[in-house]
Amino acid sequence: MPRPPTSNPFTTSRAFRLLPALLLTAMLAIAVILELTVLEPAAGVVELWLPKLPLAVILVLPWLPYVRRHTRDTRDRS
Amino acid sequence: MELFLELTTFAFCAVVAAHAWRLRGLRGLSFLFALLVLGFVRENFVVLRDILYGYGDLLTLGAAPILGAVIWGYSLYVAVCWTEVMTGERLDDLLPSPRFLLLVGLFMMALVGFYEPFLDLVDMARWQDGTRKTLGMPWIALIGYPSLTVPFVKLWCRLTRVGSSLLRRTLLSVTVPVLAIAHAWGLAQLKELLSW
Repeated sequence: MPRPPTSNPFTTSRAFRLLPALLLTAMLAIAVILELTVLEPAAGVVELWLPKLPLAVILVLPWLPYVRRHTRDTRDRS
Repeated sequence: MELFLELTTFAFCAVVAAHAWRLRGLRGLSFLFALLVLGFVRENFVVLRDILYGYGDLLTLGAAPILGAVIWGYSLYVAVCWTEVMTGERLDDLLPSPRFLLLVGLFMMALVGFYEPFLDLVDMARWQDGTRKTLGMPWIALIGYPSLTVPFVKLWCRLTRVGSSLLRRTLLSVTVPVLAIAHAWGLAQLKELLSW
């Protein structure tokens, strides 16, 4: 099927592919902020945070190559 | 609060639709549309048959909240995009590998830990009394989320390779709603069987 013309390399990049995951990260952050401020859940810290941990780790994983590259570049420059 | 959360989710889904178009063109929009139909049919079936869970006072389309349909579509699309990055495979490639299917299923299971306790906290989703949970996560949801995602991805990848456009659309129009209903019904049966 025909695709829209994409002369912008960003739209074929890994980062662009991760945009939906970034949105989900924002959603997770909104939920956490609401839980800490407005919602006042009865649950303790473990019950509140532990279930979210696998998703938080999963959402961070694809960004690790960028972190490694940045760390390497910084080290090479110095 | 509910309206804020609903509108935020709808806005994010609109961004995801733009993403699907930009990245994948018409096929991406078709994929997302099929996901929304999947969610819409499934959630209406759940509400009409009064199985698994109910909803709070939310904006509805048919019998079920729009949020129910939208969140399935949005979540599955995010799961697929994430898995494509992690595996290097693309949904347009040959049929997805077992590794792809495993990762997309694991992503959906991880979503249970976010969605279910939060939806319970804001009283937007209400599981049946007696639903077994740990840390706010219904056990049955840990099966339910991936068990809809993986068959759908396989179905999509198979059917989009059908040569005839008309046949492809016809098959999708029939199989996606059937999958949605079969999944909801099957999960309810399993929940009863296991007393979960």
